[in-house]
Amino acid sequence: MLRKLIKHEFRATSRIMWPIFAGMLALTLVMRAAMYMTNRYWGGFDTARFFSTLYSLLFLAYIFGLAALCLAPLVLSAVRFRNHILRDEGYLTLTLPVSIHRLLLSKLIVSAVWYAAAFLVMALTMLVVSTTWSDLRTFPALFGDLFSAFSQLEDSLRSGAMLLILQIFLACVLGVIVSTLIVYAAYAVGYSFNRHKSAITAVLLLVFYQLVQIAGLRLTFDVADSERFSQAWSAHAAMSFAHSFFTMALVGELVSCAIFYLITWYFTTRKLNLE
Amino acid sequence: MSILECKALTKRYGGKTALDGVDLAVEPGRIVGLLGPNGSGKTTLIKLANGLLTPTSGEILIDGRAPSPETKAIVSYLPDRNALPEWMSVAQTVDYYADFYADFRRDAAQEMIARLGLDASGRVKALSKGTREKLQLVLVMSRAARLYLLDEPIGGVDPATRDYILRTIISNYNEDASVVISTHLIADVEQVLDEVIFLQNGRVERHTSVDAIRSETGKSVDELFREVFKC
Repeated sequence: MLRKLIKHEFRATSRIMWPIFAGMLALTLVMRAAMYMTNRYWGGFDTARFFSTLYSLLFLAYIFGLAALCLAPLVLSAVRFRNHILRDEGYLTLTLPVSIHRLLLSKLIVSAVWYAAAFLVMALTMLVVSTTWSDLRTFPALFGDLFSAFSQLEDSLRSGAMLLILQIFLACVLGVIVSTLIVYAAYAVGYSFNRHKSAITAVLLLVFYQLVQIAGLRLTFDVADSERFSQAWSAHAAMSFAHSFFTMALVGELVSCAIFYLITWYFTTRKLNLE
Repeated sequence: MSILECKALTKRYGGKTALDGVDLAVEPGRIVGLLGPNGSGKTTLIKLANGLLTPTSGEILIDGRAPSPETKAIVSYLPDRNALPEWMSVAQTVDYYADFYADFRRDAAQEMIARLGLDASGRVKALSKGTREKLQLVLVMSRAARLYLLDEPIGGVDPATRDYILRTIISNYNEDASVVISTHLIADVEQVLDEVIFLQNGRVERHTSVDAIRSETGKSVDELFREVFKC
């Protein structure tokens, strides 16, 4: 059933995400073309000014597009959760022969995939914007150098670099899941009220995010104050600090996931208030 | 074993009691009218049976089990509103039901959809309110479920659509299954019912067979309903 839930979740969300990706890539290509035209003195002064203005406008749109791309998976996930579970569609969704755990898991998996896809599209657009064909030819050598530098770092830090990359990756994945669960929890609690559902949800979102940020800052200070960090600086000391920090961050994120998951589960099962 | 059973079932919303110690049992193979005025607790009872609400006290059992994914697999539920995603096409709604319900009869659904003259590639959003209700009913009745819970299936539709809905229910339900129809439009459903449950202020006022009402009181269900719920 999880596979089927994921399939239908992708079907419901891809109709929004693919056009966003396609639009962003198209905007990037048009901006790149405008950049190319601006850098060449075709025609008279007016033509150059036209392309320069066009490029400026497209660049502004591109910056907004990047921001939209960052937010799109979270916003889509929130809207989808509200519509699919807490509004009229909930009468169908919540009477499917599946547990709420599988339902939430399918949503979290699909949301994480869209975050990854958005990241890749963002990286691709930045690559298109910032490189030329001649730059691209140097990429194999660049990646070779990076790999070689990483290998040397890995040797000198006795596998510490690889572990750190793994920790950062896991922290990003869990961070995405925590953000999504915070939104789900806020909606689940907000929609359990009979009135002012949206307003309560918005307030809860702010409160939950603030709580997580305060806990995160507290964690950072605690690790920074630890004895290990007060030692004289060295590559090993910095790596040790980074490992401690990300280990604590991962534990904190796991705890946050558990808390917001339980809130979401409780309110979508015990306190469900479909209109 | 009863397909639907309530034991001292109570549901409160804050200070308001929607269901108050309801005891009832529905046996397999019966078409039951869950009748009562607005606010009598019909929808609450159906929501509880579907696991959309949790009882305050008492219990509700479907085939001897509390509502769960297992009971949802044998219950076909028609809510009192359109729950089909508006962005889906008609064909996608059929795929959705076919994917999740093992007892879904795709052929029956497609035949009924064709008879309705619906374009399979058309979006739900583009359908009229009445046609959406018909589509939803077609999907619900295309399941070979053991219990059909139909919440106000004929509320707010024209007489011709009412006839279509009742015809669809009678000609498509699994005969070993039970059908619970919640409504306050008694006259329209009376001819298809085997028994009735009168709900008033969250309590079961009467649970009896339609034949017993006719033979004992000499009245139709509609006449008795008007008498019991006289304002």
